[in-house]
Amino acid sequence: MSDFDYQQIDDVLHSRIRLTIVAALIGVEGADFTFLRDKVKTTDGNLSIHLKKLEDAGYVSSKKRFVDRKPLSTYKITEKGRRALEHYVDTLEKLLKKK
Amino acid sequence: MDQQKAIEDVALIKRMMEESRQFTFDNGKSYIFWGILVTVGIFVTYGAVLTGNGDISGWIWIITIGIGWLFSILAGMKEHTKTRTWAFGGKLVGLIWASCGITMTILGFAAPLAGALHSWAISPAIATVMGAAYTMSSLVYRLKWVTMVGIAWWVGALAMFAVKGLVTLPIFGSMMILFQIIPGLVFYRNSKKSNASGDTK
Repeated sequence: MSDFDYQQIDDVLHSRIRLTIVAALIGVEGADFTFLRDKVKTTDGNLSIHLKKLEDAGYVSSKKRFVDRKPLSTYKITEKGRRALEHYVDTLEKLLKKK
Repeated sequence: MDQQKAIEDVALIKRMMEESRQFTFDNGKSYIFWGILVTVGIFVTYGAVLTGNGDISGWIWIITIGIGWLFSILAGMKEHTKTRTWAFGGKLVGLIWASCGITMTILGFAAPLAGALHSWAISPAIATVMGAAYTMSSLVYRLKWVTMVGIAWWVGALAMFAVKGLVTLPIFGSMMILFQIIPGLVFYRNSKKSNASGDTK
């Protein structure tokens, strides 16, 4: 029987969509909504919900600006989000080693 | 969480990070544009000197470099509004090329005007800076072939310093085609491939 502590799993990042968003943002300084939608391959509404959850958790920050009078939302991973992803990867590695 | 989910998550994170790294890749357009522009400038200057019209070479380069900088500034402004992602690596490469571009402009205009650099020595001096720009950029791109291009520029610079004289112009022109336009085309092809696979910039 494994002594792996399942409580170590970050619920925010346990979702495949939210994990994709955070992983996509880790290698860039920032990205806009359309880029993330293409990466995650989901609808605008669904992506908005997951981005909101990530923002509420403090993992992602957003900024709205206007380009050609159209609103453009840009997203960045925060330090907290970066640490959370690192911790999540460590947890996954531990899980894989234990099994 | 089961093991399968953990394996898939690790693979997903790795893939996303690898794809993100690719966003720092250049689309190659500015490499191609500057390469063609400078190659044309070199061979027009060479033709002008051979036909006894060398005194217009200064004007050729004022127009050539003026067009180049105008293109770079306009392209930079367009990129700023259209870019969907931005990465530190991309900014770093932009800064490397902008600073080397200013260095080359000073070496190409101010140094000969001050009498500090003979006109034939402009080409090898600029090739030396090109070598530095490619080598530094290769660290950001993490592409060995870009380092090799940088080394090729330095070897070419040494060769031009060795042969001296007007012959440096066609050598420099050939180097522009081989080590500027062709790398630009490789970047462009890679960028197109990347876009086709969904990694839109």
